[in-house]
Amino acid sequence: MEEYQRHSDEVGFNAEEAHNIVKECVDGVLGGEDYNQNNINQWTASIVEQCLAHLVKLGKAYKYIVTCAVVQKSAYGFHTASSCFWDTTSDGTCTVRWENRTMNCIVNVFAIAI
Amino acid sequence: MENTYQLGPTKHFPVVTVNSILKDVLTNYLQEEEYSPELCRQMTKTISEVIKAQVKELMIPRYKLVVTVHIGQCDGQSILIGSRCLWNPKSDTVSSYVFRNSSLFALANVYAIYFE
Repeated sequence: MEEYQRHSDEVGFNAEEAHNIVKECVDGVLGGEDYNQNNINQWTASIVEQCLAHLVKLGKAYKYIVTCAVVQKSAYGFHTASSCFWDTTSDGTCTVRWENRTMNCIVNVFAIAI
Repeated sequence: MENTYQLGPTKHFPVVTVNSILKDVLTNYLQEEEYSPELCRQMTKTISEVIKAQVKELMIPRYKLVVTVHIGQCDGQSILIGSRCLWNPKSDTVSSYVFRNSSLFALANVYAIYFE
């Protein structure tokens, strides 16, 4: 990437903007749906691809990693953690938790400056 | 970091080595464990730090790492975890491993991103 584009990295990753984008995508795909074994594959794929597409439209010089976990609601336990080795001034992450009556959804976005 | 004026990484990320690191760490930490909320809460954080430290020791230059660990109870429920990445496939890569025992499952992912 060119040197002159690096000035946008000084602001760092805008986690709030990413949070809103992801929340809208998840609401759009899963809103009003019940957990369904047949559709789940398609839903996770749509959520992740739509999130990526919207993030790219922001036009920032970042590489993105988007992960999505969708779990059926039952008396289960689920933990997730992440650990990152990067430049804290320019890179960032954002996590969105979403739930409805039958399922929970966790989406993580990691943005790494080029 | 300075510009290198190189087109790609001199040393590529060793996916196979990292796969075996993930397998060893998950097996050693979780082989005999039963699912319990407190244990697993601590375990996810510890395991992700341990994996990050071991992969850092490989000393692959100019690579940034993102390590994610998911641990869940095996209780007959259904779960699907997916991820997509927007990156340069020639230099960036992912490595992952799933560990299962009678009461829990654990998924560890390592994403390696080249700093161009």
